[in-house]
Amino acid sequence: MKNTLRQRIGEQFSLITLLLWALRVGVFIVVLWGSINTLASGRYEASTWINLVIAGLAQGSIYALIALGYSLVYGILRFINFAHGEVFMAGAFTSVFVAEALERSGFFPKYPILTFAILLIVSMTSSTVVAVLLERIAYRPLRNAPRLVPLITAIGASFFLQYTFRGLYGSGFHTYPEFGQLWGVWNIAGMDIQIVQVFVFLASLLMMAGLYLIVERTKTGKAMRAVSEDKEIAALMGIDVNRVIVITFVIGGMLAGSAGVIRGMYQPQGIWFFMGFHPGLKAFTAAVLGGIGNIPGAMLGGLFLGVFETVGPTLILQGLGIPAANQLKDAIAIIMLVLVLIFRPQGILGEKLAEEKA
Amino acid sequence: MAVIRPSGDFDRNYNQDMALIRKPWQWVLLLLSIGAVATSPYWAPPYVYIKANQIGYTLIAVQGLNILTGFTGQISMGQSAFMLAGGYISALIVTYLNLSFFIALPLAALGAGLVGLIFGIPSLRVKGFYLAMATLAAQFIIPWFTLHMFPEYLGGQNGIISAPVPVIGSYEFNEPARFIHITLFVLILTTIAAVNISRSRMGRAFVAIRDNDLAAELLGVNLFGYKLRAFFIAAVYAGLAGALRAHSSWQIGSEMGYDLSESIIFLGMLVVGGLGTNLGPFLGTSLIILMEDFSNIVGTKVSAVMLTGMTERVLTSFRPIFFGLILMLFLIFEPRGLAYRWQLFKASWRLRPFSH
Repeated sequence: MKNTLRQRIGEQFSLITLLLWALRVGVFIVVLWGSINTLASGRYEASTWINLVIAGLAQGSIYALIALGYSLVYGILRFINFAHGEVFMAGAFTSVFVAEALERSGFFPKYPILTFAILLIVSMTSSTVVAVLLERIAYRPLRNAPRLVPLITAIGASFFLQYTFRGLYGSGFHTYPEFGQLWGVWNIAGMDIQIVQVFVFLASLLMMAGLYLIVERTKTGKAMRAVSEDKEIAALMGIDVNRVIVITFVIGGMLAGSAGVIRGMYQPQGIWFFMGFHPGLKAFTAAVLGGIGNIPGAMLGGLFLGVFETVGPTLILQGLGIPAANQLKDAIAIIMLVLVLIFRPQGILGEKLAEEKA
Repeated sequence: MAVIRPSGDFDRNYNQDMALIRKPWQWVLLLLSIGAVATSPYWAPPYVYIKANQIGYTLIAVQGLNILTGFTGQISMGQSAFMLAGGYISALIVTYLNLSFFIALPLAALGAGLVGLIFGIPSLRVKGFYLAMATLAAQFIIPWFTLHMFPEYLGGQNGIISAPVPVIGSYEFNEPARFIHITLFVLILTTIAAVNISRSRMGRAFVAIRDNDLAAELLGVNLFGYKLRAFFIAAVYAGLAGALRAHSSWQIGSEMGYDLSESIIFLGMLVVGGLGTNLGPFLGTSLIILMEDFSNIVGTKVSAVMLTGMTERVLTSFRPIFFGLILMLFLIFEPRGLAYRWQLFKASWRLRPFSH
């Protein structure tokens, strides 16, 4: 009896499980300790927190738009398009030149809504072209290669795209013209809410609703779902798999392109060739967080990551007395990714990841 | 990779079977090429030994990555962050403990190895691309650490501290012409270690994990232990490389090219050379580093026929564009890398004049 008990304990508390539990408890304690410290210090009022959350939602909806691209491609090809951040960059970077030209010509101050539409079209087109070329040139020849190979190709492609755009457009920073109407403040229930944040949030919701309709209500969407279920059977049912894959990349590219313009509205500064990397990384984190391959998951993950990233450094890290907490935003996202991967690899909404994961 | 040997060439005892270098003329070639590199400051233009030095320490980092990614199949994008850790540790030891560089070097390697162990822990649960993302954390956290913690020791926001020149007696290794001897010596040691790791029990366990981790575990390979060992070895190599790089350029800082793109370039060098071969890192590293200069030449030629404003832009972008292209083309057309081509070439030469 004693022996079996010991065996059972040994089974349940092997070194690795123990380590994992220690890590879990450690993370929990650190988060709790930091939060309590910050809240107890009383440096921030309630309205500050609410503003942070709203800013996080706006930021997160941009991540969500990009994350959908990762999730769609993963759902169909079971592989992660590392260069998707560069697809986003292509849209934003190309349209910034159009925006600058329109502002110089005086068209923009007169017709801001028309300008927005033009920018959206330009950005979506260039992102889509990049995404489709990427699929055709870099990924299709490798579709049946071992998993590691398209992954490294994607890294190479991302590098290639970044510096091709740098060669084309130069390495300087560009700035979107500001949409004056968006930069006001609404006073709701005694709190100041920036209009642009509401706008970003609503625009992204609209795009996501459109995507949802395409995937759930159209024949193409049905074909996409079928291909993601089983490529071969879908082909037997008369679905042109290659076409569906291209369509997936097109949709991902369009979402990324729209994210590019929306980001330009929200954060006009800092449009350059490297701007796709960090949002791409965050969006990937968001996609994993929500459960990769899962469309509502990507949206939810994006919003959650956005909020966590804006609130987290102030709430947790400042309480721990870590200097320059806001510069750790990126590291926080990555650490969160690691923790999610270790403790809940299937994400918030995702089903159990099969052996197929990467 | 079975070595194809001409008929009549076989081993008569275990020593011959275990020998890495089988023939006297191979010894001669090897010693001649080592000698050529060692004496290059005396007969070659500065370009040669400066590049040889750079290739040398990069090669060590790529060898480490090869053990981790090539043999064990764990993709890592944190190699240059581990280099940074190694460089800092070595510079700090020499500056504040007044130890010789030659004592600091192994200590730096050990320190970087321990840092690598920490970032290897996620390999317990995640693999493939997810692991790559997890190792990316190193690329964010280590530079942040050097920029924001202990500013009086790590250089603070400025981000650069000096790495003293190594000294033996009164002989200072203060320029590439002298430093190359240290690099070469360490490189020889790391190569011997890498070759022997790859054919030992540990190396076979690594390969088993790469090829099928489930099967490896069923055969009794301790997955977690061996993955962590691979991370440790890779980080030790990176630490050596970082310390060498720091002391040959006299300073180290997180802004000096230890960023993510450097890690990606290491990965690219490995892929171009050949994953999981001991020759691969040599070929890939040399090719990519020399390509850098080649692309500058081509860039100058190309920009001569382009618009005048474009010249500078094209020049600065040409190297990464070339790199990305080469990486993609290699993966599409020859994913086994240059080392495999070399193997084919040798085999066809050995079988001459018969084609089969």
